[in-house]
Amino acid sequence: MSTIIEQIEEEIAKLETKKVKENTGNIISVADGVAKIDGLSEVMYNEMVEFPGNVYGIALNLEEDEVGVVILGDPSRLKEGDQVKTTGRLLSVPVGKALLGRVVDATGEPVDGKGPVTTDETYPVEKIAPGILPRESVNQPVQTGIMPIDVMTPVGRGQRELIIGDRSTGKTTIAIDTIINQAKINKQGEANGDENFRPLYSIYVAIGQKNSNIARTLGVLEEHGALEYTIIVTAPASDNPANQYIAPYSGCAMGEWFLENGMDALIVYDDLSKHAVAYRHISLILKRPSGREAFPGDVFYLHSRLLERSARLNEENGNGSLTALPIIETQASDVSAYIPTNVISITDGQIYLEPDLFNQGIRPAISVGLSVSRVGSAAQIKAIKQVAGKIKLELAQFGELQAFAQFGSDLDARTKAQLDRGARIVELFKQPAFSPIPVEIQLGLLWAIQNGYFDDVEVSKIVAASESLQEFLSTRKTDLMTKILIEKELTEKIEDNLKTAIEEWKLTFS
Amino acid sequence: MLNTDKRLVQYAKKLVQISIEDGRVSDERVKAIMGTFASRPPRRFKTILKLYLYYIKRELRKSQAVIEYAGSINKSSIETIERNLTSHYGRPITVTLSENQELLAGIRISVADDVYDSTIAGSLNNLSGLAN
Repeated sequence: MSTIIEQIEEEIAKLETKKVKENTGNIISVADGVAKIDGLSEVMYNEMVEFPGNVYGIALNLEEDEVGVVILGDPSRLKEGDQVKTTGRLLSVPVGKALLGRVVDATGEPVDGKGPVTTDETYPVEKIAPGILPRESVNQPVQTGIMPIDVMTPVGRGQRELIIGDRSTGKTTIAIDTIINQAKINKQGEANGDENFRPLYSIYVAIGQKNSNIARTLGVLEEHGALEYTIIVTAPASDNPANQYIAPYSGCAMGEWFLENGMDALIVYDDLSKHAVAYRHISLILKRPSGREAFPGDVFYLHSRLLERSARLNEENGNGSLTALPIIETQASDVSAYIPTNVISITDGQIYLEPDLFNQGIRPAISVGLSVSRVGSAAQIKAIKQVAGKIKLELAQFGELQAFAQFGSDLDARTKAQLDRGARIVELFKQPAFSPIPVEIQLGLLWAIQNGYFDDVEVSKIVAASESLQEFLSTRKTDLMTKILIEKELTEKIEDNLKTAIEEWKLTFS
Repeated sequence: MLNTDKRLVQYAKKLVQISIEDGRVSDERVKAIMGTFASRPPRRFKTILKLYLYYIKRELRKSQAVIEYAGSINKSSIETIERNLTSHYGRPITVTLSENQELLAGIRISVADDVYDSTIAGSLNNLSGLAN
């Protein structure tokens, strides 16, 4: 017995007894996920602090007599008087390809029951966005697979394109469609074995959403084989506001790993309205002065510093990109509210979804007049530019003429033709959810409508005609479609082939 | 304590400033302040006193080091610690001792918010943290 004790004592003696300096404080109060700490005189802004029971927090308010800390995790066991320690570290999350196909929480901990994430690398959650010099202009497309977007408001790699609209107007569906389309393109690219192919990985950040919605999104991605190229970061409505506040920054850090390692990634923030609300919650508890709509003064910086981290880097810096699709939910279509105007001004364009269009059955309910992409045609392949040039103008004119035509009875032939064409384009742009259309098929459809092949089809049959042509092109004209995809340009020969193909289809479609 | 009127907090802090002589809280000055209060109590006297006590305690903590130890500690070590802390913080630090067998071995010194830990219990804690 005594030898065992001696052995343990020897082991204890061997233990390194170097001096460890810690800066400590004590909890004064804990409420709604925010703790007020007395002490912590050396704590730094945004530093992680350690509570008892392996609970961590972030120091957000450094005041004369106290420190305001948001608690990450379960604060239920913390009590007044508990000791808190500084860690000297910033909050970091695991990054890397090991996260693809996984569902993690705001701190990067897996919540999908598939075991731990096997990665050694971590990135800080808060990071300064790339400066001016390492950036490159946005000129490579992100094919969303949604025709009206790819044609009229194209999104480029490194762009920030806002998706904005009322509740239940299809905002998340657009984001999910885009993710699904990337997975399809990635699979096709990998199967072709093209060395220059650059896959686009996706990160979906769910902020303040119902768990059932997140489960549905996860199910859709899994069903369409897109999960293996996607990381899901969740901070559901039941999570504390601190986690909801951190989640987009965690997702962004995961995306930055792809950006800085010369890869391309797409990040969806669903949605930043709830993120702003979570931040307002924290700020009010921290007793920060409130401003418009009770949001704190730095709510613009909250989103600008997040979205500025999306960028396209130049060749010297690896040529990576991080594209952002932030989502904002408006109330009663009010785009001039505080948070929507903030995010509109930060982003490089917006896709506005109109409830009226949605209720009329025009889905995706994209408003042509209010949607814009500031990158414009720079993010389109040449072939799409060749056929899509006039579409947006035609549709805008159609909208105006349609309103005008309601009053008058006699219309001249030109106006009538414009109305007919517009109605057909609107029908052509209707697309079911989770069915992205490949760019080469989009090109075929657009070429057909531009060259009058749909003019003799009744408006009510345009959707059926479009589906029929899509099937015809994808099953019977694969060579032509591959050629378009490779050449990315409408040459005379391709146009001749398209003409022949569509005339052939026309015979089969009655 | 923290939801108090800012003017009272400022007042209490001023009283603490007056109570300090040569970088330390002076017993005489505190007694003088208390004497003045006894003869002419200000409005919201209880709140002011509570705030004064809170800030005085905080000030005292800055010049007091608590040495927790397990086993034994010799007098010369205590003197060395006191001397080193005084030179490190640039203010006179007085040492109080407290025996704590839970530390297993070694010493832990607390000065205001700073904790210097060279105990076996602390090392084991760090090890278990790493293992987690």
